[in-house]
Amino acid sequence: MTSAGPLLLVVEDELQMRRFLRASLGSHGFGIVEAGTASEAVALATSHNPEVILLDLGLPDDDGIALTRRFREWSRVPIIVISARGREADKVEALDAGADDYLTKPFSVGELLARIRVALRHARQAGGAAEPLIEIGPLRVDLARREVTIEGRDVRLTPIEYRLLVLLAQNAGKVLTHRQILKEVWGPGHTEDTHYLRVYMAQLRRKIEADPAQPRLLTTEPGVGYRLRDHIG
Amino acid sequence: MSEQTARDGSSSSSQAYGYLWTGALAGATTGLGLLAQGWFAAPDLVMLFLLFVGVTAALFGRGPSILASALSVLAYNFFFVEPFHTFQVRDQRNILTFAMMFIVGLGTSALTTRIRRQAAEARTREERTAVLYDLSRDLGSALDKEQVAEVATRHAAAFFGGTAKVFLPDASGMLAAQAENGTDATPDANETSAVRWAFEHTRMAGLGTHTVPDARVVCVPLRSGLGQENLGVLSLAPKSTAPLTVEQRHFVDGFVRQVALAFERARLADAAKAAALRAKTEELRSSLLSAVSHDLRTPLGAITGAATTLRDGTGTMEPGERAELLETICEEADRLERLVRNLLDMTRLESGTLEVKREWVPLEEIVGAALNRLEAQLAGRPIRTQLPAELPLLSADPVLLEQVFINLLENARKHTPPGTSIEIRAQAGSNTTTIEVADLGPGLPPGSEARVFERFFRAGSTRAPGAGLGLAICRGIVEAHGGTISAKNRDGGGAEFRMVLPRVGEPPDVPSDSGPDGPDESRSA
Repeated sequence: MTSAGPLLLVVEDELQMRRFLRASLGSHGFGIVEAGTASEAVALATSHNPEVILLDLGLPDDDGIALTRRFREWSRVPIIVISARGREADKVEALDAGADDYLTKPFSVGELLARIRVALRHARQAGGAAEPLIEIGPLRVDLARREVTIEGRDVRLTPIEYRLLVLLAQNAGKVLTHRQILKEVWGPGHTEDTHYLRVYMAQLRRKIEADPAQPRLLTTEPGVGYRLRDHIG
Repeated sequence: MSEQTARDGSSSSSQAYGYLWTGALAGATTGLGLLAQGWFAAPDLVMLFLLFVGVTAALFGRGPSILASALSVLAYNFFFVEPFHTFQVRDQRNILTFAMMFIVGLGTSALTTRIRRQAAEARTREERTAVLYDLSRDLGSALDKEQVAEVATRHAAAFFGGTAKVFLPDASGMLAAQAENGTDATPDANETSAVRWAFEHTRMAGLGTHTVPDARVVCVPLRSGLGQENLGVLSLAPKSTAPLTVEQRHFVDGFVRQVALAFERARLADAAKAAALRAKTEELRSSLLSAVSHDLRTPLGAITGAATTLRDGTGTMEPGERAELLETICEEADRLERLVRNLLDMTRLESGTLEVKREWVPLEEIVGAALNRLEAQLAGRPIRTQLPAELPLLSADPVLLEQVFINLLENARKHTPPGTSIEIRAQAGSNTTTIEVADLGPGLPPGSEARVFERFFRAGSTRAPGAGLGLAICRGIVEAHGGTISAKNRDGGGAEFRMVLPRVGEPPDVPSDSGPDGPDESRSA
């Protein structure tokens, strides 16, 4: 398939899913290479150097998590895993193994495109310096001046709350697992202390959300982690 | 065994007493005879001695009464028959008197002794009947094998003295011991082999038998007589090592038969329960199948219809029609997805493979996740949340509890007019957390408040789509957390679902960082 847009590698063994992805992604200007097995995927990834990999976790010849690890040994290409509902543990494992995001079947094209856009943006930023100013809807995080405002009003955060928010903001649009956040904010010794994270996340929501029980910025992915939305629609 | 030893012990000491008393009474009778001699003729005094023999027989039994007969003849001869104070007999007629006296004495003693023995036997029988009665009464209230074993061992230990155990075959055929509450059930090598033998041969083994006689226990197979098979073994460790008498064996047989019958009954009750469960599962499966096939076909039919119309009618279709058909496909696919999700959840709940992974989590986060997930479906509906900030952390499975909220919110959305508000409230009790999800719709049909949580129940008309699984799943999940869920109509109209979750343990401490005035805070102007 020839296309001017970014090249995606679709690793999926079900033909119907591949047909749907080819049609919908192709019509949005993406170039697509398809693999039905893990070994094909490795071969295509080395030969075509795709910008994003869409990886179904249920492959016939290898498990997707192991494949993610193999990719991560030599590549930083964004990987979005696709899995069935109810397999939260698999998703977390794939994310902790280095996948960038996930989608739960069934998903809409809109969700898929949003994930791909976020993945592409983060991949392109990774080389350069971090943005000093992050703006998402009413939220503004000024990293240089260590300033957080909501609709122009200053928000006073504790050091942990601030580190949490900055981590999520730098990964805006991407899901972060409990383990990833705990490791970054509390240190490698606290990766199991999920309740720390939950309590601080609740505090943070009270400071930046209009109604913390109906968050518009800081969303929970139950059983997986948290995501700071990159836009409010 | 305690009953026997007690009687043996008392009889040997009381027999000695009996002989002594007989001697004393013989002396007293003779004295009385000597005093009465002035007023009565010698033959009348024979009656006095016969009375003495009778009393002795009644009081002390056979041995002393024979002694009394002999003493009577001798004393009568010595003191009251001429020549006095010798054992010589001058008048031949007196020989007859002595003989009659001795024979009547012996006869009285034999009769009295028999009556005594019969009375004693009647007493023993009565005791045993009472024991068996108590046993059967207690067995009657024992519901399962464990309780039957407990009752059997307790009664056996109390009645036979010593200790008792019951050995029952487990699923793999191994005999597992169960003793009276609070005692050690571990058998020694002899007991193990005696029990094994008794079980395999359906005959008594151990102490007092020919099989493993060195064992400290008597092993009696449990056979009810109803079924052919052997249900287990009762093992008695008596205090004395004397073998059982025939009578005791009979009693043990009666005892064991009752216990075996109780085991048989418990087993049949288990089998009946399992059969009822199978029947219920079967019934569930068929109702599931019929509900599911209908609910799967409806959206599939709509999707197929819309998709084929779009494929075949490209040229002639208005853009508005096309959009409507596409919308149908999306909506019906969503519905299908929800149905499949609910079916999978229900299957997980029903099969008991659902694992509650408890974590400490704020309720707010779970509610927020559910509301985020349903953002599109709930668009245009005011959602009012009242979740106090001081609500303690819940110990719950966040993924499952989120599903409860999703199902309750979807249920509220389906059954209420668009644009009406939904409320979510929570409050903490002393050891519970109460959460309510309330809507402003038409409410539940009167009388259906409890039934809405049943599988496949659909309120009123089936206008609202769904297989009637969402609320059943809610109940399953809440109950898996040890909580309860109920539904009622609100006073002002609308339905209200309330769950009460128990507080489990103490929430862990979360170290607070330096607070908003700390040195590392984000800058504020």
